[in-house]
Amino acid sequence: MKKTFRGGTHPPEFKLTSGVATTPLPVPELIYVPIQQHIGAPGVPVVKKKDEVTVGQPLTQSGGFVSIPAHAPVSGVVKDVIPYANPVGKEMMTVVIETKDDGGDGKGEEDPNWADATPDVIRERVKNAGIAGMGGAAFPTHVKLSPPEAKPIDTVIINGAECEPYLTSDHRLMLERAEDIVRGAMLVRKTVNAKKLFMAVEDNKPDAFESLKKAAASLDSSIQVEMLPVKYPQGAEKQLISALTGREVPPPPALPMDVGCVVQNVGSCVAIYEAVRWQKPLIERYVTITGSGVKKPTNVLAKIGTPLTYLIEAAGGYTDDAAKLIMGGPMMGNALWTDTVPVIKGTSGVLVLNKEQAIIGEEEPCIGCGRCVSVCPVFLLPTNIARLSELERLEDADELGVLECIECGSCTYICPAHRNLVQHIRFGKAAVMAAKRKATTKKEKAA
Amino acid sequence: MSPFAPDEEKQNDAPDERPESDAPETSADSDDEKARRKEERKAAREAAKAKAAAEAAAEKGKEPAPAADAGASSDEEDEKARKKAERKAAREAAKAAAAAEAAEEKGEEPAPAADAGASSDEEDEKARRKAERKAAREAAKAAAAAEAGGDDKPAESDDEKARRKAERKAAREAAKAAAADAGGDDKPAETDEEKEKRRAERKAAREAAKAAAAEGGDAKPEKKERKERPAKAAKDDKPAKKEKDTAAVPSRKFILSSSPHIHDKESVRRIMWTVTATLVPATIGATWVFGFRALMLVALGASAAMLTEWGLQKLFKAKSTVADGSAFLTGLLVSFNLPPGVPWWIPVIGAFFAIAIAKMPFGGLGWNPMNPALIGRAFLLASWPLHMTKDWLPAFWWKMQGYNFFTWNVNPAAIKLDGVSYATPLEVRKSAISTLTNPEGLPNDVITRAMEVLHSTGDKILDLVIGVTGGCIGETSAILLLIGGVYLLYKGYIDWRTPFAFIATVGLGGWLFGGADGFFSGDMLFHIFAGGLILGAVYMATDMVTTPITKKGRLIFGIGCGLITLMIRLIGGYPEGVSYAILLMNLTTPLIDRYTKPRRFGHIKVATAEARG
Repeated sequence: MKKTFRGGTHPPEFKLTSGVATTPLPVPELIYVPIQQHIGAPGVPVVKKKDEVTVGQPLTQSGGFVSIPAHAPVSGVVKDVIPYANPVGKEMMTVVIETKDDGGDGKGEEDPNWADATPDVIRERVKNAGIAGMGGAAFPTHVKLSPPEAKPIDTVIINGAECEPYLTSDHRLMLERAEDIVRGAMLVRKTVNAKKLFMAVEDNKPDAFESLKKAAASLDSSIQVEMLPVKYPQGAEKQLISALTGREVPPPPALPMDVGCVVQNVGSCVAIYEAVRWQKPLIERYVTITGSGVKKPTNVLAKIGTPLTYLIEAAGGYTDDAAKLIMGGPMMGNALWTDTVPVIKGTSGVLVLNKEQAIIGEEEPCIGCGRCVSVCPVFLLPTNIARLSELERLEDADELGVLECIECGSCTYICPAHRNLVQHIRFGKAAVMAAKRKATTKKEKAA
Repeated sequence: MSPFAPDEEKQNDAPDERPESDAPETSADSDDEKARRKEERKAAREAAKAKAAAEAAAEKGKEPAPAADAGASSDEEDEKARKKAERKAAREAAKAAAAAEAAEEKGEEPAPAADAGASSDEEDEKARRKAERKAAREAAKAAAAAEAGGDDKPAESDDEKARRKAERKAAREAAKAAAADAGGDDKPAETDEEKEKRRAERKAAREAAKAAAAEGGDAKPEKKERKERPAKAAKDDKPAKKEKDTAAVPSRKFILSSSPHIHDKESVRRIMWTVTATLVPATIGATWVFGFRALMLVALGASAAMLTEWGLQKLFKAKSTVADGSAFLTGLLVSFNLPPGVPWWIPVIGAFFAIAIAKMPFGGLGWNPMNPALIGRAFLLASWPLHMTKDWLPAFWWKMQGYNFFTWNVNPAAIKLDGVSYATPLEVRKSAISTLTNPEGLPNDVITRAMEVLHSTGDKILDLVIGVTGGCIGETSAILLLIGGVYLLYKGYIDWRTPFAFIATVGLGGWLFGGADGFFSGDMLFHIFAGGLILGAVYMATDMVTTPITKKGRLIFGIGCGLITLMIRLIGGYPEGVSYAILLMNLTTPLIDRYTKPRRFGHIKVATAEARG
């Protein structure tokens, strides 16, 4: 039997760009590097206006343990540090660099003994390189590589599932840089002192599977490359762990390390490898530009901080009926109001949908078909939670596990009544968390 | 760097990009700065409006003159006068600015016309900015005072920003003044010459801007084509500059919504009409067995239901939902549950009640607690029990003498078979059982007959499966209903758990308790295929709205339906109990859902110890 997880759905794949080789994007004139591109504390800017920066130079210093620095993706002059539009939503302090020259790829001197680097050295270099999970959530990688002693890790999983429709950046990476992925993965395994190393690919990418398998065989035969049946959200950390090991990560705040697993995206592996070998910071990444709203969908290697306009340009520009701009995939990506926002570390793709696709049906009442229940990969009752959230019956929603929703969007995708379940649930989640925080503060005050 | 005449452009072509041009080169922190930016944005909006107006006018071919200010008066002549004044004022302002600049600036370092911010020399930058501000103030004053006059000589300022700002201000003030002067003695006629000149100016301005942009840094070719930048991006002057080239292209408006951004093709409407379509074979079968009359009753029920829903929504001024198909389906099912010999108004009243009482008052589709079609049937059964329990017709009655396929008027009581008023198999069985339970005083042949009935039902199973038997219109043909059910299963519109649990419970229970000779003597197949079990289990107990949403819950629901059906069939007063069983279980749905919540992901007690093994 094929390994998989329970629940989930299978949206049409639309992998338009699987066969398009990645091309480096020319360096833009102005680069916008937000001080926070990861989950955790924002970085603290260490450059000011008019400073000369060279490629790879840190622009911020990390603002805590769960925080990472950002680096200059190009050489140039800091034009300003201003609040600027950000793909996450709000404006954010952003270092604007006027490019002088692209300054190369930011690699430092090669460490000839990189393969023998100790875990501490690896962690240090990964942190200094500002690596955050590149699958989209952008959790600082060095944190994942620093499990407490009480939580031994036995399994490392390299995530090449890329279950989001349309996106192909990981697919291309697996084809073009398979060996680097495997090297990075082996460094991860060494750092967390795990025995098993899985690499997971969905079976709609047989070429990527073969490519990884070949690379793995040539470097370390103990690596298990697994082909998983296509299903969304296979690439979600918890679902991937469940599919490969049968273990279920307990509800938040538990992390994969609680069940002895560390999951790393394939892109992160390449970044880790380069950080350890050349101390190269994370200043560029693979990005897919795709969808019915661009003329020539493609994959590019873009510098972090490149405004999306350049990427759209690289994809032949908008079609006349382009109507929706999304950073990320169609299931979990953020709709953007402007294409001036920059590429950040978690930007796996830019999706533009045309008018026809961008319109989603009007919300109708739930007819109780139960489809959302059967697709929910964390086994919730989405329709009930959504309804309770709408009614602001927060305690009831909390009791049904509103905080455990991973917002994968499967329920909303499948709902025949077009209910915006995830949206309601997000609202409920935020409200429940706010209420809990309030309660905690009250308690603290009382004590 | 660019000694063109960029100020000309100001008056004529692109008032809309001016305000956006200077924001980023200034420090982000000062309050001053913020206020200024805000001011600029406002100006930008106004300018954009004015520009749009000017373009519209130009398109009509009447008035290609550019509007520099949005606060335009509607009077055309005034407008012209005002515009002229504005242009002059702007020129004047520019000149003044240049002069001021020249006085304070070293002038060694000409900033690019289109991008002052590109300068990297910090001290110069500061001095320059200071000068700019001062110049701007002076220019504004001068412009306001000047109001008209001044020559056309292009100012050779290398300081865009100050000039632009001054121009804006001056232009506004001048416009006001002009408007006040409204009599307008200097009514300028738009000569061709003038138009030509303006066109040339515009072109020059565009070229200047391009050249400046190219000089501003190592300009990448692709940058030239960046387009359609939303106005708010104005924080950065470069993108704003770019907008200049394509100022006529409106900003692209992107749709914003919460993820996910794609959707399955499924919809409520599609589900309802598909379910309806799967009932077509059963309808055709019923028509064949019970004649054209059956088809008419079905049509009456369906149309009455749709009409009721439409009428109520009309009455209460609500959005019509008739098209979603659920009313049609309800009406269809009401008729399916009627004996084929009922008068025409029975399905009409039943469908009306189903929609008007059991569905719409709760909020329409999705909110009704119980299956509307079954409520309609229950209402009919309680109100017209004779019609509902006696109007049976035997299969193929229309082939009998005196009738034909299209016969409408039929008296069910008059149709006799074997001297017994024909009923449903379940009814025959029920009366046989009651005969045997209380045999005292009954003639022997009646008792014998009852014994025969109870022991011979097995022979008729094939008839039951095909549907060549008495019963409600839509319930008789098990095979046609099952074909539809299989398709619904394939489409995922129904969950196998409910019908399976329902049918299995009735079958097993019938076998266990339903026989005349003690336990395990019942006829399992008879209990499954007689009566409305298949119709109920496949089409009514799977109604999405009124049944549980959890998988476990659906199993429980099915079993519950089966048990109640059995109790009514074997112990209760009615021969058939499917519809009441489903109705009663509908009421337990919320409770079942509450107690069958799935185990949530990660809520495992022996989480990892085993798995790690």
